[in-house]
Amino acid sequence: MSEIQRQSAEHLFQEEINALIKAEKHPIPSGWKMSPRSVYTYIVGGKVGKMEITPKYIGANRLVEIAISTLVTDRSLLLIGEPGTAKSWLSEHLTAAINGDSTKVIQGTAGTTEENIRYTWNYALLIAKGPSDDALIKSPIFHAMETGSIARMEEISRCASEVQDALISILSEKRIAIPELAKEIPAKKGFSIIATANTRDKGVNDMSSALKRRFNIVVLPSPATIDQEMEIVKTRMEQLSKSLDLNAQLPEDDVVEKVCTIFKEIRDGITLDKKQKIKQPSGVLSTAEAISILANSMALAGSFGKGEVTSYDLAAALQGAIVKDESSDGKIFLEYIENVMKKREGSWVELYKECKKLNREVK
Amino acid sequence: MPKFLGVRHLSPNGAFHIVQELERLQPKVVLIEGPSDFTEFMPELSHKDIKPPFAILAYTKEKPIKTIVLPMAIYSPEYQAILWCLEHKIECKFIDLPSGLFVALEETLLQKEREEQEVNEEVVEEREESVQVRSIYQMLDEQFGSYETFWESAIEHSAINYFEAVNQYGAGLREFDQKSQYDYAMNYIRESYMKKKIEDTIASGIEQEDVVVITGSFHVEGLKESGEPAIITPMTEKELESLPVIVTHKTLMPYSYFKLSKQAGYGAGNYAPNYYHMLWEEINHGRIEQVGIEYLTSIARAMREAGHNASSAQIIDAMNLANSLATLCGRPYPVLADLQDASMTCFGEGELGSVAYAKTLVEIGTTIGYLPDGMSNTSIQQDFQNHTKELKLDSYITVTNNELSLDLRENIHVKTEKSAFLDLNRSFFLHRLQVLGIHFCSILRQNQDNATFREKWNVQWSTEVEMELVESSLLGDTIEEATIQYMKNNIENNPSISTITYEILNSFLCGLPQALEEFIVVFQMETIDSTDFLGFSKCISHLMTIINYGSLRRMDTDSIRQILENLYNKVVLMVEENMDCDDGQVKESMYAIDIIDSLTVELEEIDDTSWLAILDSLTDNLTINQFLSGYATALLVEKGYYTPAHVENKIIFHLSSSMEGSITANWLEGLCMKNRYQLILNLNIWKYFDEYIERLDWEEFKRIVLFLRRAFTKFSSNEKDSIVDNLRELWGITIGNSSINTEISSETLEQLATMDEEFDFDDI
Repeated sequence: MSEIQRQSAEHLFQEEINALIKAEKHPIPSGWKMSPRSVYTYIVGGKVGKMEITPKYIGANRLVEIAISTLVTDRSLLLIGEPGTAKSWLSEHLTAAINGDSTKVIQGTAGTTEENIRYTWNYALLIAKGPSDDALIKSPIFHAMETGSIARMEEISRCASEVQDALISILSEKRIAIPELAKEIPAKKGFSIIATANTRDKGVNDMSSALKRRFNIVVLPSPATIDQEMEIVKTRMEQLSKSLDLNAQLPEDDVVEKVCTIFKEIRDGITLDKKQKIKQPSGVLSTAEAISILANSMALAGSFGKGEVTSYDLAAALQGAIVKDESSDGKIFLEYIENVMKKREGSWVELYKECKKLNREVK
Repeated sequence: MPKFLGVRHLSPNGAFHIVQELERLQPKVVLIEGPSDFTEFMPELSHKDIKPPFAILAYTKEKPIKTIVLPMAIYSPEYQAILWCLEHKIECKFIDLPSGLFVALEETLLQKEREEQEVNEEVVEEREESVQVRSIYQMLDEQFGSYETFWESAIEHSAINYFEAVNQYGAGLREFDQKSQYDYAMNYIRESYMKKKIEDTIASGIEQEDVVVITGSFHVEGLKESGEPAIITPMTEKELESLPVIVTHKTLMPYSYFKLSKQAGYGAGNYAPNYYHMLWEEINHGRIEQVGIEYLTSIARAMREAGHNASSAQIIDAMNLANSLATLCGRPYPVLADLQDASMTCFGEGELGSVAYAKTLVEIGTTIGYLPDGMSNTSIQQDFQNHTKELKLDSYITVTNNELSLDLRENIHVKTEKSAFLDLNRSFFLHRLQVLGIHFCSILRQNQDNATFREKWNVQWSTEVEMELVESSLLGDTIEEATIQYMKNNIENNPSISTITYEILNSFLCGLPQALEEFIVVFQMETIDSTDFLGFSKCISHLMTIINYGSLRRMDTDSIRQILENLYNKVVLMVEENMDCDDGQVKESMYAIDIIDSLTVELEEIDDTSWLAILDSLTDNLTINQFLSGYATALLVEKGYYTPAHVENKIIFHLSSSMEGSITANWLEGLCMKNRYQLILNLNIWKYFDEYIERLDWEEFKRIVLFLRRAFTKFSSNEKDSIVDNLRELWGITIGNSSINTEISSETLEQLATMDEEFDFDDI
């Protein structure tokens, strides 16, 4: 077991990438490690020779095609979606497959500056020697331009507008000017940017239309069906439990189904059979959240229980995920417990009891 | 063996290749899949003024009405083949089952299937299982995203071997086809009939090699196979005689791309006719790769027209994306799905919203076919023409919009009765067309509500009118018949009280007394057990419209008056139990009270004592919504039933201290809906108000001030001024004494200041 808490995608799936490269039959765009078709296979899963490629992104395969095709042209890609719809996940795996390197990342925050996007200086050297190549500290985007690879820009709409706009010239001219060195670095073929933005942050720092125009925008949806969502959760749970040593058995299908059902119903504001409307809490209940609460309950079970996820563990994790800070969420969840969960049969009965008990304690 | 050319119906590439192939083969006879009795229309199709799309329609006159539609667009291989034959004077025939046989057979087989299902439940189970086996369409959908995408890329875009590709596909379809027994039987009989027709042709002395047969790709294998013994044998005369037949009527009709995009069934539909039209044009110019650019440019232009932003640079980006999507999926050219996704990504910022309008416009389009006069002639079209002549409306048959204003009163300056009531008859006719959904005319709303003798119409003719007329021929042979049938169908499908009332009103406006009587009987049947109070009140309001016309439309309204009286007696008993509603419904209940009240006013035969008694009881009833109680009081005041002293008593009662503040305010709001002027004039009332407010403690006042404010919002500023005058008089402040503001003590000011903090007046 590796010492590293979270391996990069290209490390985790090194074998798959190698197999795909080895079996390559289609033309490879310049700067890429494999053909667009192989990238597609890497993302949505399939078979190469005898090797089974695990699906990384499940659901909207057509969107993956659009994303890859965008990167083949010289356009950049902007992935938009609700929190937890696998935007960053998809962008990481796309770069891992295309370049074998998903680490050229800029995290967009309120504190990101233009220097983070272009370049900055090693000030000690700058003062000692004046502007020189040695004193130049290049941003991940700068590196990507030099090597003809893809840089990632996470949560672009969290950055201030002037920082976002620094990207415009890079994306349209495909070159970066360093006036201090009287130089201009052109981007090599294969350079592109994958940015992600959150629909919940809309309006925080809305992107200018000039910048938007330089991206092809792909909107990632929440999983369409409960089966799809369960498949995503199960696949991820297997991968996670391997890397996190949770000391607990993987949750039963039945448990996964319950979590996904609760999440989908609360997210859509309506029961699966479309018979009952449900109030929606303040937070977002994404698939990523479902995965984390299952992991959470596995950790609870592994560390304090019998190593098997019980209704009690699950109830505790659900409570934590659905009821965020506001007291209104508690009421909404209690309403759900009483109106929907209570009426269901089988193993729901136990979960209902635990949830109810817990909801009362919290109050 | 004759030459078999399999095609896909409505296939641009097929239409192009069929002409090429006919040029090459130079046949003497061309046989085409399509009801054989439709052959009679073929010579007409070469008329230079015909503009596709059009359709050949066969329909039965007996109920239930059955139809077959064979739509043809400019890119239909069948249509292009017919045109080629007409041009080269080559014999050309349809060879499928005649329409009468076709519909009869379909009905019989369906009937059998239904019976079988009822008798044998196992069959049902078996069928359910077989449904679960994936059909070839599902498999293609999974593989290619949609089988339309497969079609387009494999068949529409392939420059060579069109027929080979199509035949292979057809054979594949046959092999994987898992349709029901019924479908199998239908196909067997059709193919057997087509085989007979082919044999007949050869028997008439034409060399086999000189015969070309054009059919849907599915049938090619069936028609070709001649194993020993053959699975499908040509139909014998005896077999033919044993098949059921129904009499059908046939006509050509103009068609539209919009309808084509919705069409399913015989002849199959075409989900993006305008895009396929573009494809047809480009294939003919030998530049199929251009169609993507044409599509995206059209999208961008349509978006710009709709006020969205779509630049040429974006077109280039979208084209690049579409091309690379096609490459990724291993297609030579982008298919429609690629172009759609590219335009969504590049023009719509990843979402369909802003592109949707342009997409519909470019993919479906607004093209409507045209047939020269007299070419499509159903009896209903004839009826339409006769009527427009008779009613002197023929000058209105233009594509420009004309306004027609009608005076329904008898014109006493003319001699004949016909011309005396010309406008009334025009109104009947136009109303009938409107009921049938024929977009020849639309009525304009009048400003004066009571001028029932005037009507204004917008009249405009378009090819669509012709199309809609032909469709209406399924309902009846004349416009009158069709209208009545339409209304009957409507009631049958949804026998609710509101539908029936609506159709009663319609039959009155359309001048159809028999239908009116019939619907009244249905209405009475349906209302016997109903207790839908609000529904009844809406009915009454509709039926009152009829009464308001009086004898103007020269129709007997006695039976309507009778119904209204019955309804009144029914509804009056329901009033009290229906007044206990929440604030959301209160407006509807108020409306209902108004309607019943106007009914008692309009219909002299109704004795309103019971109504007044009910209203009176409402004013004291504390279990109902108090707004309505207040409103009932106001209504009685308006009707002069309550004297000012009555009102004062009611006010004293409702302002008494035992009443909950919000209830009082609610009651006041209802009271203030009417006769505000009378209220203002009665100074006593304001004395009671003043005392009431004085009596409230500060907390109570804070709570109900919002309700009170709402109660008085209906007052105009002039009326509010008068109230202030009243209060001044009560408080002994003479008019002109401007000291009203200076008298406010510092204590009051402080109170006001704290109120400001607690109340956000902006929200009120």
